[in-house]
Amino acid sequence: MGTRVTRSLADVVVPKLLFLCALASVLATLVIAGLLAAEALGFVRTLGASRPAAGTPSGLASLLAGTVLATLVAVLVALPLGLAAAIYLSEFAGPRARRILAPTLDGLASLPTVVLGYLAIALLTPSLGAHHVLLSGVALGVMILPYFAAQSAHVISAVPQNLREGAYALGASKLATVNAIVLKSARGGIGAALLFAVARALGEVMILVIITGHTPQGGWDVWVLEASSHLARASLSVTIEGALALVALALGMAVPASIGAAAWLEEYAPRGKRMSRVEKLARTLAAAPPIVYGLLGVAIFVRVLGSGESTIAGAAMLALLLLPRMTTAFREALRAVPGSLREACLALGADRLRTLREVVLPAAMPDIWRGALRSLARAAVETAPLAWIGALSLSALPWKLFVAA
Amino acid sequence: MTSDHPHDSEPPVKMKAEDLRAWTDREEVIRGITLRIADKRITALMGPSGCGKSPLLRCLNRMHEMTPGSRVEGRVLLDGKDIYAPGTNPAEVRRRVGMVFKKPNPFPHMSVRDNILAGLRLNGLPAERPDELVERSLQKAALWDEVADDLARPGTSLSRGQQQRLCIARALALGPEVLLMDEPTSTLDPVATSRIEDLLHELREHVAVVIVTHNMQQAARVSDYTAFIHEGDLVEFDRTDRIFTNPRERRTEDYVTGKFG
Repeated sequence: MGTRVTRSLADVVVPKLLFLCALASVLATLVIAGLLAAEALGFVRTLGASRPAAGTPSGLASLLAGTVLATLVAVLVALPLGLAAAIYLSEFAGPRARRILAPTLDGLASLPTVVLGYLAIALLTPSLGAHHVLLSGVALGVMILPYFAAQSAHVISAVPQNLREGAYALGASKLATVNAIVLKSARGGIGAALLFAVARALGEVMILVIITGHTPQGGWDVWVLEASSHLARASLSVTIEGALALVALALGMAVPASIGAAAWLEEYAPRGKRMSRVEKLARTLAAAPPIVYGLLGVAIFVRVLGSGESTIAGAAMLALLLLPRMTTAFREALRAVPGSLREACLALGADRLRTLREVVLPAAMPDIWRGALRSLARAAVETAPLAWIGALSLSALPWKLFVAA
Repeated sequence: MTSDHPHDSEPPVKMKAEDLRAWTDREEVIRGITLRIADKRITALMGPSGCGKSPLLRCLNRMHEMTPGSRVEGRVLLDGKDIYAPGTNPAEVRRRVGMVFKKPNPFPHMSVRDNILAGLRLNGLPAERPDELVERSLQKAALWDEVADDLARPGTSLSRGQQQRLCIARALALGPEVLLMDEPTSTLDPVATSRIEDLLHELREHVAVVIVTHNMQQAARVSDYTAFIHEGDLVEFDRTDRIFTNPRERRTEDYVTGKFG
């Protein structure tokens, strides 16, 4: 009798707790997005208010014209190079080359593009001269290249093998098959990849400009440079023990919360339309530009470890940062557990909670650990290069974020 | 079929595999097969799943080697010339020996018409009187009447059965001497299947056909000769009527009577 009561109590309380976790995960992404939107609004207002000097085009118009030109140059740079890399990787590379190249390209593609832009500008300025459309364009091209190449390689690999075989069986050479069949079938996806790559790079530069408090003056290559030198001036004084403690603490908070959120979303959430819309939003935001996560990561390390703020507060912020993506990863892990296992357990008379605890979670555990490590690694990959360029003196954003959450 | 075409005179040999061996990246899938393919006849390769009949078929137009990690040894003669001889262009072999796959695979970004002409275009060959070629190929594949009113529609807009006949027409447009078919009806419903089988009777007038099937009834219905393949070996090869009524090998008898497979 006693066990019955506790179990039904647990059945009532646990889903509520799990729901809270899910809510926190969705809220974390919404807060990140909301703060960025607010900052962007302020930026656009400055843009409207800045009076152009007589004889020069308005701020917005010159901004747009410069961006369009730079984008054209960037596409000219990135399209042939990226496509060639993608075709080589998906059609011609041997298994060993692919094993090394594919993850490398994916890794490069997940770097904040500003890092690549900074390197390109730093390398090219001596030969091209600062604030030149060609410089901006080439730098932008370098920024979009890895992402575009990686995405295109995925799109090309996804072209069904039987179409290639159909062409080979007609006596087509490999080159003709790639050209007339594979690329034609994949061109929609390749176009989308290019579009996304450009949008992402421009968006990330904008975010950096906004967060470092620049006004829309000059070309955006100037912003990238200024923001970077701004980064370089700030110093980073992080101890290894401090960093490890922070990460461990953050993992201790983020992993259970993410498991709870994922469990609720996968196992308990009502399958309504509104819910799926919230989910979709959260998932889109979890896929937000790496720069957002990278900047927040730098801010956390610099502010917390550099200035002796409380480690717990920093860890909580880092956990918040990890939460959306970790939840997404854990949901995949739970979804990968075959439904037949759940049914077998339920058919033996176990309730849902017990099924979750005894069967689903243990089965998903390897994937969950992998997901946790991958989320952490991604955060590190996004944070480290920015920190390497120099620590960013982010004043407002992360603290606002923390207070709001 | 066999009753309509008495085997008074032996038809000429179009292709011949000699001590053919093939490997995938994991195992040996064909263990020394010698086999004759008669011209203007239908030869069925029959056997349980995984017996090696598909790899055998794919060795006949050098498609097997397109699978990473695969290897082929032995000879395959086409009109007496080894298609594996050094200096032979596999693309040319594939133009002479056409292939139709399990799943219909019309090129999705091409119209019905362009699918037919794809073979020429992919090989960089000029199409003289393309309209005639399109019509003739579709006629031979018994698809012309169904698509003639709109050749510009996408090949993938056709029904599955029509798509498979489109793929047959695409292969025929190159004027192949042999047509290899890898379980061409395995993803089709019975009506579409019987249309393809009817079509096989007509194709037989023009080309040598090799068809892979795990369906015994299909082998019995459509083929003149049947090769029974088991675990990479050619167990028995004979006229189809003899294979099904009076097999010499015990394993063949067990298979055709349904004791395994």
